Amino acid sequence: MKMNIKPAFRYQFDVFFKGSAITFLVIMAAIAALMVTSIYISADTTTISFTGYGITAVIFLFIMGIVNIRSDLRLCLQYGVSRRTSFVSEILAVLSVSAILAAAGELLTGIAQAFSAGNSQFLIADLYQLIYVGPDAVSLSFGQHILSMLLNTSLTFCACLFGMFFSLMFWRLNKVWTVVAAISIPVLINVVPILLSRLGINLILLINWIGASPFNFVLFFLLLAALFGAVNWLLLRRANIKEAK
Amino acid sequence: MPIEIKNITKDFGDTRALDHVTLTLGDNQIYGLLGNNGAGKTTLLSILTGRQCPTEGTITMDGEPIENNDAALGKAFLVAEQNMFPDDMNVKRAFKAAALFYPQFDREYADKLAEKFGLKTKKKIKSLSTGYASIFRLILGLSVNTPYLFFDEPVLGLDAQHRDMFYRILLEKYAECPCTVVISTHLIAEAANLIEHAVIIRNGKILKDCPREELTADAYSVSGPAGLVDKFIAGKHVLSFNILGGLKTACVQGPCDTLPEGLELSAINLQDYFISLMEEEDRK
Amino acid sequence: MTFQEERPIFLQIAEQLEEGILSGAYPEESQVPSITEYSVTYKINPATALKGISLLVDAGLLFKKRGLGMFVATGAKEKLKSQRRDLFYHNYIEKLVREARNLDLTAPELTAMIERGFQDADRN
Repeated sequence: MKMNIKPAFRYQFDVFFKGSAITFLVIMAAIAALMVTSIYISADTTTISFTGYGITAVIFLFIMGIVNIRSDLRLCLQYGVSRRTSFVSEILAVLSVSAILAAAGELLTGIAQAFSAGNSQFLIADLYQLIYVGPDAVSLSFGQHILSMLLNTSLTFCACLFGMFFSLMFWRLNKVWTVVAAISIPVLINVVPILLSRLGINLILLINWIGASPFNFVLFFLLLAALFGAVNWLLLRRANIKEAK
Repeated sequence: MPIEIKNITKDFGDTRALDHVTLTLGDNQIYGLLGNNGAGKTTLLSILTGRQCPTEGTITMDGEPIENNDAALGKAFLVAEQNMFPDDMNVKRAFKAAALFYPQFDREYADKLAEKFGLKTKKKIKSLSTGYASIFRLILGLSVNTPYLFFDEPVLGLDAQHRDMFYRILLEKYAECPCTVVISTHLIAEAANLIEHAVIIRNGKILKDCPREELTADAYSVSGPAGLVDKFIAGKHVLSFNILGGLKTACVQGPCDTLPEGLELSAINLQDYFISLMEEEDRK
Repeated sequence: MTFQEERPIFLQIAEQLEEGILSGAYPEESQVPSITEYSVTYKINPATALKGISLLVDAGLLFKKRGLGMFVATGAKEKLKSQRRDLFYHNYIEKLVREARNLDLTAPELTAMIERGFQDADRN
């Protein structure tokens, strides 16, 4: 059945993009401020480093995932678009914005690295560089930038779908189960790794595998995103959609 | 492209909100979905527009199920009490978004109506009063130009002047651009002259589904001395009656033979007929 | 015009139009209100208004000009008058004669009363 994705996508992309643009500008301002500050501090004592672009994008998209999934669904239903189309276009919108944000981050990092080439007091790097290249590298090659962008995209995308999962899960649960879920999260975080190691599944192996190559990283988080996506769809496909409380 | 509703049942836990509802909507008429509060009107409209999923039954438009069907869902617009817009959205942006989703959306007309009703388009939807939130949704419904337009209790919260304006604007629009309108309401008297086809729903079941005139065509009210009335109505289908002193009035459904002396006959309006019907159902 | 609940609305609309034609409020060849105008003014379904107007169209009192609307037919007034005259006999004269008989009034006495009625009306 043909889906009328275009209006839903345009609307949702707009929502995510506007929010992300503001975040981007704030980060850009922060980096600029740090770069300027680094010029005025003494050479041997301190270094200012900024490695937070990726993490900031992840946290921001995670929150946007929580905030927007239900309100976008409501609007799409009011405006005659099915929940399946709303969900699919939401995924596409989030993926697009994650990629754009990641690309913009590479651009920003690249320019900042170029500007601070001679300045040993200022260091800017992002996740990919930290994990796979090393914090000392002053700048990345184009190919490395691409990998970094892919890495950030997959992580941000996954974080957003995780945020949606949170929102949808608490929406579908009744009061009792909401409390159970809220309590069980910290419990699970602590208990699951122990359980897994008891079962002979060594999480360290997984972590090493991810650390071995950026492609593994991207694959892992895309698979995780797909998992969240599937669960999210199951949560909302027969939900009763009413106004926000 | 009629909408075929077949055996729609909706359960909320132990409560059955809709019970094997079967109905056809179409033909560019104004339908009245009439029933008391809790009869299932809102549930039915929610299911028709994809906001809720039925427990059983199917709904098709042009032979295709409406579930996850954008072509079908895009043809029906629901004006209901629920606010489905984001907290930070104002009326202007809602109109702009509507133009995105509905190619036939008439922005000029919407702005004109907003002015007529005194709706400030810069205001956030969430901050509108109950009356103006209703007006906002009514204006949307009147401007999207979809083949199906559903109103769920459209005039609740509207003052008398705005109610009047809404009915007139709706009729003007309907007369100029025919579409299928469904007005779901418990305000029977107000709906009486607007609707062509009546669907009466009670406890999730359809009681009547026929042209509006048929409802009251063979129903009448007879009054007079209690004894005479009782003699006359014996064996007839009596919907309701009331007694004041020695005077009895009965609402009867069926053909009317010649009236004996001393009894008075009058036609029955839709609201009285509806109430009588509900009373009869209560007695069952 | 408020609608009396007893009589179907479309009939009331038809009658109101007939009165207008007879009284000259809607002269021949002039346009009568459109379905939309009736619908909006009286808050009724357009189909109801159409039903009332159709009665007059079927009786040859109104005709439709494509793209313009409904107009009063030539000779509508006369047609109505003769229709009404037939009804007048049935609605008024028959009842009048019956009542006169009840009161033992003869035909000449009744005629004299009628003539007096015209004179009184002319004086006022």
